[in-house]
Amino acid sequence: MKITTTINNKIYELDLQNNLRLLDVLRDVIGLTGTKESCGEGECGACTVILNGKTANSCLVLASQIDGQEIITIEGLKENGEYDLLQTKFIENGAVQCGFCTPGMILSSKVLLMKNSNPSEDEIQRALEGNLCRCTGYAKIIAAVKSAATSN
Amino acid sequence: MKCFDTICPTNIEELKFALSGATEKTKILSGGTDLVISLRENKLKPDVLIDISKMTSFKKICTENGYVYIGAGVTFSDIEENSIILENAMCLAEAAMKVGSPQIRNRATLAGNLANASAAADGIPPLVSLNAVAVIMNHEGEYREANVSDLIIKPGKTKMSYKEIITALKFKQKTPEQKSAFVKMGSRKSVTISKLSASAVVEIDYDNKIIKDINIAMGSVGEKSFISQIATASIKGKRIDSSLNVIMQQSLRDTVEESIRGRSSMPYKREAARGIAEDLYYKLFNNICIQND
Repeated sequence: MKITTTINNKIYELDLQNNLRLLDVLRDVIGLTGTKESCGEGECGACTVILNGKTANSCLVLASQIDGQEIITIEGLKENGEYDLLQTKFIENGAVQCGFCTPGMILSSKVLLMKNSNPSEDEIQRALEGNLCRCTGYAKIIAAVKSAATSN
Repeated sequence: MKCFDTICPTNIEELKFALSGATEKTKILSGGTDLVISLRENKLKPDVLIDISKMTSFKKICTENGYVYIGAGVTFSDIEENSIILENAMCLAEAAMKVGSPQIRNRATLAGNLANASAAADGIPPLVSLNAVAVIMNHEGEYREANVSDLIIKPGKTKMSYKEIITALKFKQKTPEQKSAFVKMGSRKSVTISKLSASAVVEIDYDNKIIKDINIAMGSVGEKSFISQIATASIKGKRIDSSLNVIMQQSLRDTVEESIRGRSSMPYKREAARGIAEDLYYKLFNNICIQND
């Protein structure tokens, strides 16, 4: 089916197989491999993208559902070669080990900070509850988000 | 997953047309958080998907003639922050807040939660406790209403035909004497399937601090959510004081014991139900409790 979608502020006109997920479109059709597949069933959040301003597991969104919609992936955060503040804070705070959860973590954090510029630790935990990390134990991720919030 | 055709209706006429061509293998795609997993696991091999995510008329929450209407495209995120829901159905808002993760809540719809009819669904006990109905339309544009509790046959199965679709959920607006709450218990604090849940809608005589009426709908107890007759009989007419906490605990414990006698999960759930009851007690009555001497 033919769909038109905006990804990282760029318009794409695509002819897609109906059974493709947004995750497959991003990684295999367009080549944006920053979004990761881990569980494939909406539990881990590694495939998180921002869809019409809200986070979504791209492994659960089918091709037909992105027609006319706006998507931001981790690649969309870098502007003019400059890292987003969140990305810098994640690196500075040791919140990245293997890095597999990181794109999803950063996008969930990004949406949180857009709605709530000074979140409490509880609010950060709640915003990130759909993103699992097997490496860091979460403490440095939360510290990174806090640091990004207070830097603004 | 096996390939299929997809139809994306944008209005009721297109939806009717899509439904008229539906077969028993046709599936409706709403949020996709249950359906896409089933497709991936090849548990479902539909011929056609009717994708209703473009039906903007389904994305509304409104009140009309004393009823709250929640459109079929309304997500749990929409529900948890909506002022009409917070005002009229706190139990539903509290359930919505605890479904899955933010990513899931942003996509999953209440109507889809009902149609999927999991025994552990979190959206269903609140609807049952509110005596909610599903507004259902068929391929000819004819509407009917079905009580949510009656609509479900067993896990994964409802009384709907494949040429029908839920267009909205509907329940009466809250009166000033009513209050509601929802509690769920799972293996984790969040992003967890309910092992046990309960939604309570209570009508209170505030002057005399007495319970006028109460519905407590159980979730994850047996095949489908139901209102506990034991709870209503034990709690109705009682004074709101600390003994009510004990009465509620006993009634939910007895409810579980009676409903799933013989199930291996019964001993655990029978005890866990007391914790659920106590949480409900504090949520509903903490600020109006009569202090005993």
